[in-house]
Amino acid sequence: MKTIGKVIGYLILIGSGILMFIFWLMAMSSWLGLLGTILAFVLCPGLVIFPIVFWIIEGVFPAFYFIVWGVGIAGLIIASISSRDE
Amino acid sequence: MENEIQIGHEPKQNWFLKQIKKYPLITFTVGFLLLGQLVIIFASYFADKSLFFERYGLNIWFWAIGILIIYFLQWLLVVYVASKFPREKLKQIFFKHPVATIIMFVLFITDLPYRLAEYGTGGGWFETILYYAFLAFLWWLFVCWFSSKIFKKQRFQWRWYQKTIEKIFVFLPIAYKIIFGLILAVVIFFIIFYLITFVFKYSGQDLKILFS
Repeated sequence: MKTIGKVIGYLILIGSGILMFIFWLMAMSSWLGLLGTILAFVLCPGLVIFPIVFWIIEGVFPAFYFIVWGVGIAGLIIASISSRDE
Repeated sequence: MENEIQIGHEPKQNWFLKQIKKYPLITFTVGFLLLGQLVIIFASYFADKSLFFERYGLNIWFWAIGILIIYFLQWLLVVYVASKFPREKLKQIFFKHPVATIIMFVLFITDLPYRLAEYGTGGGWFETILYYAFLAFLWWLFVCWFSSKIFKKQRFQWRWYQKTIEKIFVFLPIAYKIIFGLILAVVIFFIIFYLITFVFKYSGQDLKILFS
């Protein structure tokens, strides 16, 4: 059962990470085109700085980014609980 | 000192709790399928009550309790079969009946797509595969029992077959846990996502800007 818990937790965490990266990649490519796409792979978004930049530029709070971040934290909690020794 | 537990005498444990602890994966799988069915029933009831009565008739509680009883009986059956055929005993049956196993496996694999096309629509493919695999397993047990009554001696013994069975016994539990974990991860992901979205009243405006 611990294995399933770990699989679930890590998959949620990885899935959230991928979605956050897609969000970052889409934003960068829409702002800077091809250069933005390349930079998205090279640079780190910064968990708090990128959403603030997005908020300032687009004028909309990036709630999706934070929701997915929250889901990722929930996945991390599930994985850490499952990894604990009995 | 009446309350003290005597050394060598384990406290009596409830039979159901004992079985749940002994077969957690079976319990978890049946519980997941039960929850899925209950969610479907209640969602279709609250989505359109008149359509629900028109299509299924009777009371919603009749359906809910009926499903609970059916899944409980299914759990009892699977636990009973699992207790009767532990890992090593099952492996010996596999080794003893290679021809029956290969024929039944080929039949199962060739028939599975048709079963999936018939019952596996709307996300029910996992449940369909599980049910059909369990039914095929019962048929296989019956065929093995029947052939052991006819053929007293084992006629075929292939080394490659034994190696394959050994590998399947190692690989299948891990593969099942990963696939089941993946399905649960997707379900839990969407539940948490929906809950957070509902709490913060997310409108999806940021995504609309991003994809426009």
